[in-house]
Amino acid sequence: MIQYPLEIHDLTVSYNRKPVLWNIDLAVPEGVVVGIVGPNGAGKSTLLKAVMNLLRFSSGWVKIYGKPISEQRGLVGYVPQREEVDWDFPITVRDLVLMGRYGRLGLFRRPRREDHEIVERALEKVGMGSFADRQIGNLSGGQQQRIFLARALAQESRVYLMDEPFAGVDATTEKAIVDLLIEMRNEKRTVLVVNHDLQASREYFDYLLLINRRLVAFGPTEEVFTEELLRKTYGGHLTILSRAAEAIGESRGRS
Amino acid sequence: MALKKGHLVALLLLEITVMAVRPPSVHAVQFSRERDVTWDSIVRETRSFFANVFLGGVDEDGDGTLSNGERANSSLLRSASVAAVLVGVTCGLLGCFITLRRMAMFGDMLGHAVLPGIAVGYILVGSKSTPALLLGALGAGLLAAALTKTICSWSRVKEDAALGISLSFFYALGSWLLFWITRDPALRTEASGLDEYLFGNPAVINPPDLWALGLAAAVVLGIVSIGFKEFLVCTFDQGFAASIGLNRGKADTTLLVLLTVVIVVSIKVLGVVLVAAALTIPPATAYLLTDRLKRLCLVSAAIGALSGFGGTYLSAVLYIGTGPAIVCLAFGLLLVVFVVSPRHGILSRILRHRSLALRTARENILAAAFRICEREKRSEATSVGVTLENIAAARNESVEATRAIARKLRGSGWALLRDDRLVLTVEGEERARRVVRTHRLWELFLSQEARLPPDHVHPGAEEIEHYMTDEALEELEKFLNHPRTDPHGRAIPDSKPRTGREQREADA
Repeated sequence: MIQYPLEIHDLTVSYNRKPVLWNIDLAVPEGVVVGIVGPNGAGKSTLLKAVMNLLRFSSGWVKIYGKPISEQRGLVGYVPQREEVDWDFPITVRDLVLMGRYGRLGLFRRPRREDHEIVERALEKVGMGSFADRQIGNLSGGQQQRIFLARALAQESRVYLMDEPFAGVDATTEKAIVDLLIEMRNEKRTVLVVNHDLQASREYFDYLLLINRRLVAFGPTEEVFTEELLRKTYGGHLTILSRAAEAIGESRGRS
Repeated sequence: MALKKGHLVALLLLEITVMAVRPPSVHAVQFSRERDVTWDSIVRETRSFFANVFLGGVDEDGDGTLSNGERANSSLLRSASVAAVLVGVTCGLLGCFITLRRMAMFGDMLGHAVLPGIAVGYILVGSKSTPALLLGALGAGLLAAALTKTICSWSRVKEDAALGISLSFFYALGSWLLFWITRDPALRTEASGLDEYLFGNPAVINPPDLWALGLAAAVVLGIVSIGFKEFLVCTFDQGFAASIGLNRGKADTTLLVLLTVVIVVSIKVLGVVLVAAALTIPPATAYLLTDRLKRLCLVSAAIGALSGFGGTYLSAVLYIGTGPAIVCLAFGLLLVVFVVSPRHGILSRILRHRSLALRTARENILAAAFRICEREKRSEATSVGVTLENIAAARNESVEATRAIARKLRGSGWALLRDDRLVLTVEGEERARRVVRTHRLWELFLSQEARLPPDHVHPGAEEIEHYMTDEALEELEKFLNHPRTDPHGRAIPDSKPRTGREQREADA
């Protein structure tokens, strides 16, 4: 039997008993970069949080390489949305990235030289090496996103879940993230990325997961990125629909 | 300050005022019966305070030996100082996490809420036994915390209101019980001194209290240093903390129990109403001084210790209550840091602002001179210069105003003032060229990209011309495809002056 990096079976998640995600079934193959696409309030972030077990779900199960997440935490790295933390917090860039090692260290153990080296490498990889001693608040939005990614890199996980890493970042950061995604795919890591921009999703991701409360479609990008499926995903949202149509038209015109 | 403490500080000041109008005998440390503070009394009391705390006592009657009374006085002052320092360190340390978690008001609530527990402990045991009172207080504190959480999660009442409800209800309950104790003939015999818990008085600290304080300090220090990185992650980024398997609920509960314990052992020194100060003022002060959590903890603990010891000293010398003295001293330190802190103080902010304003003024006048030369198609800004009169006319201001700013250029190395003419140096011309260049590129950017009409683009460019970095400028120029003219049709100067040949070629 194949052990999927991420397998979700009949997952339903509710806030105050009101379901926000219905009966999600999903099996993500290894070494692909998946874009999670859907309108506002479709449950994209909720799906990631449910996978990480940050939310209790009403039914279903989630498995990472065949085992529940509680046994596989070391294999999964989570990158929250940038707005979820207080950037005035008194820590440096290096301190933040070092947090990526905490999961492996466990209680009572201090980071060793090896951990510090991994942190430095992760910082270099996202081009933030020269910022290591800065307080995290003195950075641009894109730089903040990059150190979040460096923290994820320092985790050395097999599966990554990223919540809107492209939101509000500059061109340099966008390129850095895309390069990172390609590298991760080459290393057979599996990445799920929540993303807003339809056109970018088509370019950046191998697979797309279209959701709107329910799973609309999951598959290789070229099969799933169709007008019909996008229309289904974005339902009555006319503006988004027209934007989607535009995106499809544009990419057709180019190729 | 990012920590929202404005209302808390206001509340504390109010409470200090309320205490100040009460007869001092209730809460003042009764180290001395004298009340007149003179220079002599300060010197005398200072000498006696340090001799008592560090040297074992003062031979007041001059008989060459220390009597029992003199020894007792010394040990009392010493335990008062030790207690105040321990409270300062413990609260200062724990307070860092409390304030960063935005639980400062929670600390204030707990401080007030332990009062009924003290009363119940006393009623049950019938004496002021330290363990009984502390256990009672601990119970009441945890109960109040549970009440707050219950109100929040089972109704639509928000957290600040829930805190207010718990605080006032438990405090009312405690006052009522204390009132009842003092009226009941069977209970009141032992009860004198119970209101030390209300206002705090380190002079009544006894050995069990000190043991409790020392133990609490050791426990807090131990848990915080062992679980430092876990507390750090749980405080900073709860989602990530949970994602690596840290139990956020456990961290919160640990913090809550530690907080209650620390408050319970601290109230005999500071009193229920002032204990929140020790949890918030030192961390806030440290927060203005450092950008690293470890240093924040150390600095905060040090400030707590300093204000604890200093407050005890002030209360002995000035004959004022110890609790208020500690809190006011801590607030004084905060005020000083608030003004002079190198990075986050208002003084450095003002200085930064002024140096920026000076640079802006200098650059504006250089740019004006550059524009005039450009208009008159001459390049002698660096040799003959431009008259201040011309600059003033171009800038639409009086010659005096221009002269005032021109004088500020002295010492900048950018221009000289000669016979009421501004003569730019080579560096000054380069600077001016860059400002004008940035200005016009930005105008072009605004009109092309933001589609603003030409009469809308000047104010924005007037701002940005002083701030643009070299890389941004380069990127902007590339983005605009190396344009030659701005939306008003004026030439955008090159980054370097052209040589004579280049100029002739361009003109041709």
